[in-house]
Amino acid sequence: MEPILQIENASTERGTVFWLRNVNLTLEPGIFMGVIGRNGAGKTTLFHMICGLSRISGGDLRLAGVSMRHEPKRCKREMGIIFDDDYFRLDLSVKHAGIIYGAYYDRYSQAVFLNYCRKFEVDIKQNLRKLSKGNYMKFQLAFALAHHPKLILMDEPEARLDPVFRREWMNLLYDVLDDTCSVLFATHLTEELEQYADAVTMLSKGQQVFSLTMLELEEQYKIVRGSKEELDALSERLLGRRRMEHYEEGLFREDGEGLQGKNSVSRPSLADLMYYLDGRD
Amino acid sequence: MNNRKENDGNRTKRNFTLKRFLCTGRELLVETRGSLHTSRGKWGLALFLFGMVVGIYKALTGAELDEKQSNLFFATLWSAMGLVVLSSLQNYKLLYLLPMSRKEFAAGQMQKAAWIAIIILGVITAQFACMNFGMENFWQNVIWKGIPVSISLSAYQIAWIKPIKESETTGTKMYHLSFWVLILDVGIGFLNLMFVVDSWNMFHWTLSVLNYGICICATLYFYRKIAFVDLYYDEL
Repeated sequence: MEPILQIENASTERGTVFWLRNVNLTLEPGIFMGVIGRNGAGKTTLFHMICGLSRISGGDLRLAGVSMRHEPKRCKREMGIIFDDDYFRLDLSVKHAGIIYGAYYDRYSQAVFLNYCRKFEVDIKQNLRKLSKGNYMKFQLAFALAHHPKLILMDEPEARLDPVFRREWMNLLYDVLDDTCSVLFATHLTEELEQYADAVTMLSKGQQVFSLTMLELEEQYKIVRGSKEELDALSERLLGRRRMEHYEEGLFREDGEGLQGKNSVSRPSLADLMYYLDGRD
Repeated sequence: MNNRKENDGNRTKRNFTLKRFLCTGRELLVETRGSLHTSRGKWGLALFLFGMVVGIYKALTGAELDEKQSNLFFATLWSAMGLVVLSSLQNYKLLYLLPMSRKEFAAGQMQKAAWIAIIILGVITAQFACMNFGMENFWQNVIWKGIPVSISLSAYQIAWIKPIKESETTGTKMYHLSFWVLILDVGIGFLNLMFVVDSWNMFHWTLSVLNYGICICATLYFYRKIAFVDLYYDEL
């Protein structure tokens, strides 16, 4: 099956400065992929590149087989966008925002949009400005679903939401999305990604560190704990280490073979990976 | 500017059609209604109504034509500015996110400007109607002054948007030239409307023809500037 999103060596730059360099990413249909990285790692720039707000200066980006560089309009039709900032005109009512902006999408249905609004309990007569943060996100999701996108982009939409709503939000996404639609989700909330994501891409300083499925991550990276002497013996194989109160801990990029028994080996969390791969110079 | 066909996948679409023009009018209406919820929109409406009321009142009560002329342009300008403020609360980011080409977007702005020109023309025509011209003079003033002046003033609608309004990061100072084109466009409209007359001479005809020429060129310039600019949102 053709990937929903395929990014090949894509870069974006401003003047002589690269904001994002040589990103390679493939997103299959129905996959929920998280994008992680520290502040300034390039997550938002990646999203801007995908949705046509930033110029792709090198490589290519294909959405459902269509090149963003050559046919941006067709690509944008396949995207649903849920951003943290207010990119809609907030002085419109929910219903009117649907009418005005839905006209730009071929497959948009106002009836579907209103149905989703009812399902998500969003008041269609309310001005966007007066919606709560959670309802504004639900409005964006309803609008996205009403034009049947193949890719939903979410750039840290949950940053200011309470934990209960975040969980409800993720459940809602799972309820409404089908196998033909993929999600790319940038977030700092790594614990939630571990629960929900099928794959993760990590960025650091404008470069891609990895783009792997959760299973591949589990196979390729291991956390090992032991005494200082034990970790000294393994130091050449460690990607990073830190000293704890009673033991030391390090990150391996191997299957961990030969370590069992001697040391405590476990699966690293995404926060561990961010710390060891991007936490220090 | 032409009624350019856009090849969109397997379909071909025209940017300038009656249907699209009517859709733009509806969009403008909904946006205007929405912007009335903001203080900026309320100020825009107040300015629009104030200009219209003052213009018509002065046209009805001004004793001499000279006195009426001096009020006419300023009243019309207030109405036009109020109208543009009322209907130009765009969110630039969204425009880049929506699936439309730059030419489609530029065409949409042109059609919005056309709607605004029609409304301004209505205001000017109402003011002319209150000035007690003869029928022939009334129509001459509408055709040779009302129409070009309303096109000149509606150029604000197009000049208001990025990248014409500003472009900071590319090193290209696009705003300056556009600013002078806008000044020239509004300036000639100002002069043309300052000399509303009941007897025409060569000077008046020249002003009106110049106004037509400049407003059409300015509108084409702004259209080209939006439709063919190669700038992304992050470069604005």
